Amino acid sequence: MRQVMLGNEAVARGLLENGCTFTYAYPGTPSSEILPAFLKQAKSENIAVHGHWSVNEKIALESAFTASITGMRSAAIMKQVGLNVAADAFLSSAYLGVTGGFVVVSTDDPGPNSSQTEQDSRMFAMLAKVPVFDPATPEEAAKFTGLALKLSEELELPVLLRPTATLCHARQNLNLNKISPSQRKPEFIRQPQRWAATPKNRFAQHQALNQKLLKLAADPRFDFSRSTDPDKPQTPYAIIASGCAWSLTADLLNDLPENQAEQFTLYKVDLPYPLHRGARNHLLDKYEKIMVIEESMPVIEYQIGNQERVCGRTDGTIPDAGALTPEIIAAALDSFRKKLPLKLLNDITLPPGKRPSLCPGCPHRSSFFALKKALPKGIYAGDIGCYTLGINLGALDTCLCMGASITQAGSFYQTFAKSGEPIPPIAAIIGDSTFFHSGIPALVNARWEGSRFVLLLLDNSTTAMTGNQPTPAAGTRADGTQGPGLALETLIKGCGIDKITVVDPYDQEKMITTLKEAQTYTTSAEGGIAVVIARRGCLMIAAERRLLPNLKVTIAETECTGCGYCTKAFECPALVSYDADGEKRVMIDPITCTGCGQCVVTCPQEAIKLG
Amino acid sequence: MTDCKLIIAGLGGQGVVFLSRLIAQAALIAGDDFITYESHGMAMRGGSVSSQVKIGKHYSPLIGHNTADILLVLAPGEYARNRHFLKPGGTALVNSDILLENLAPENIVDATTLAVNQNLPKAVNLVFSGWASEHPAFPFNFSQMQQAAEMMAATPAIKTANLKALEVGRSKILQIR
Ligand code: SF4
Ligand code: SF4
Repeated sequence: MRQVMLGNEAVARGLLENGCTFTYAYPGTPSSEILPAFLKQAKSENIAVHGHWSVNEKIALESAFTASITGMRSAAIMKQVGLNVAADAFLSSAYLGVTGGFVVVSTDDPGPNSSQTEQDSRMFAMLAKVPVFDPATPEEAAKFTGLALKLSEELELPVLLRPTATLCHARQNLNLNKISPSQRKPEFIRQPQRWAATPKNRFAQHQALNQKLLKLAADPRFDFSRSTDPDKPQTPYAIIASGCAWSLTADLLNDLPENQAEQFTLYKVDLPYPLHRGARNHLLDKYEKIMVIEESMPVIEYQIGNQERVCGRTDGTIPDAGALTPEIIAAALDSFRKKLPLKLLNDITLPPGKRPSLCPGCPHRSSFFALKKALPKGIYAGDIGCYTLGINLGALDTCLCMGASITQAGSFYQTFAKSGEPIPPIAAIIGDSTFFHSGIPALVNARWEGSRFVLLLLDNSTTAMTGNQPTPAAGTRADGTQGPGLALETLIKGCGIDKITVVDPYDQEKMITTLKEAQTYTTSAEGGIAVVIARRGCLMIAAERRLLPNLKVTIAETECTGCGYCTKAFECPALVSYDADGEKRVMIDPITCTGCGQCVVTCPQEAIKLG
Repeated sequence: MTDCKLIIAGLGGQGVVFLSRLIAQAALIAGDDFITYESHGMAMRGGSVSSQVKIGKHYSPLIGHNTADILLVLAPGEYARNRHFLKPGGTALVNSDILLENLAPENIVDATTLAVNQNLPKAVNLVFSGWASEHPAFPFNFSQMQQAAEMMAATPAIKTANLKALEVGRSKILQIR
């Protein structure tokens, strides 16, 4: 059967076709569609599975690993920076090994387009000594997911699948295999010397792991020297590539004039780590010079380890940062062939694109506006989510990694306080989902250390940036069932915070007074951390849109002076500048305006009016 | 076997992804292989976005500079940002209420006004594609686009609206002829 699928849906399909019954994930672009697709396809085929949005990636990986050591096939799904969060569990699981097939899917974001780094999960696999597959097309994503589960079971090792964003969000018509429900029953065989190994046993486990990897590096199934047409006559140049870098190169070679294309032989690596030793030696014997094309770090190149004869990311034949494009590969092929340094044609200067901004009516915008009014000279320690866009509004100064806002706010406080310097107003800005992910330990720590700051918790009751996955606050689970909710107030109180106020960010006056009060509390004798929960739902959720006040908002052309304050300080996409007989004016786009009325207070001329 | 590379550009929220899926669906109906790429994540919050569609035997969805056969643009400002993808002799079709530099007026349609006038403000992308599908360079015909739009509609009401929007776009070009 042929069907159209997104790369991520194909990964989900691969899991189901190969009897994976337990899947845990934390959302993050470009991985977010995998878990919902897994649950949806299982439901439509009437197969009993368990899929859950874990609170963070570490918990997702630990959960899936545990299912696997009862013999069940399982998967943990995250984006590349999520694997950093899960690193402890990931590296340890390689030593312990598994019993049921266990695949970790870590999606990479070369560019980066939606991440803080463009790290290569294959490099992480190398660090953890875990085999890694690099699929090149959605069809291959489904196939390799199955291979990963089987190989994991065969070697009793975790296996990583590393799709890149181009593949995750590629859509293709592909061949599907049958889904047959798993008949397995969980069985936990007590083996504390294995599952709770002491350092002494860990050493033995490390040696056993090395043996498995050596065996795999000699496994004929992964001999990539046979990945090309055996009848092709010897060419002057060889290229080794994996994943989406391979598909780009293959398409490009197809488009080259024949007299150029026939000078190259393209080899495809499915399993970049551990790299097949025999294939490596064979190609080094066969070719004077080899170019490696891979994304984003020189994983294959390092393993070939012959700097004189191999080029790619390590010698600048391919740039060492940024996503690969057809232009870069074309230039690299050219430089490789002519033995000249890489020359990128940078002749195109594009007009600036429109930067992303918060949606019209987004409650975060109102929170940021109030924050700037209440704590004008503050340090705004930010975090990761839609609200990172607060940077456009001048209301966000830092963004390190998930959950860091609270730690950074605390540390700013300590740095000024312990140096005996005047302490500026400090605010941590974090969303509800990020708070659950890794904000809680940070809050416990900040209180313990005695830090003082305003914690502005933007509670839109969802994980908005990645497509509105539910959070533990409401208790709705990935499969739609209802679990117990967990009120943020109770949780924060449990962390020992006494000063908690909940405000509707649409009530801007109240927001400003509450934030000012909170700031006063942080400086009072018995004060400490003051939490302000700005609570209003994300407008991507239909039910929340129904709660909009539906106001009619207009700008009086005669009163607007075109100062542009509203478009700059409030940046609602529905506020559009236009040219009125040579003079700049702003109007409200009736199609995109949500009628929230929040921009009214921003205009110093009071030109924005209700009704 | 059709072999065609298309770039669809616009702003987040304009239905760029939907349009690329619609064309992929049309390819499926026509029995062609294809691979497409969609923007997701941060860029979807109103920023510049584009989708790429390659019809025929291809492994990667990414399209290089000077190689696209067709450029479909939903927001006038995005034309200049994507023109370099077009191959010499390729076709650009743009939704715009103003004339654009380096583009013949017959390659421009004001699908936004057409859609708003017909009370279909959310279906600018469909009105536009109804218009574009009458262009000789477009890889699929109007009836294939109709079938695709029908198949992509979740409810009968959406189906009616989709078909109406396509028709609004097409009637615009038929009028001119
Ligand atoms: S509406 Fe007010 S704030 Fe906006 S440009 Fe006009 S005068 Fe300035
Ligand atoms: S009322 Fe103002 S702030 Fe709200 S969506 Fe419309 S233009 Fe934007």
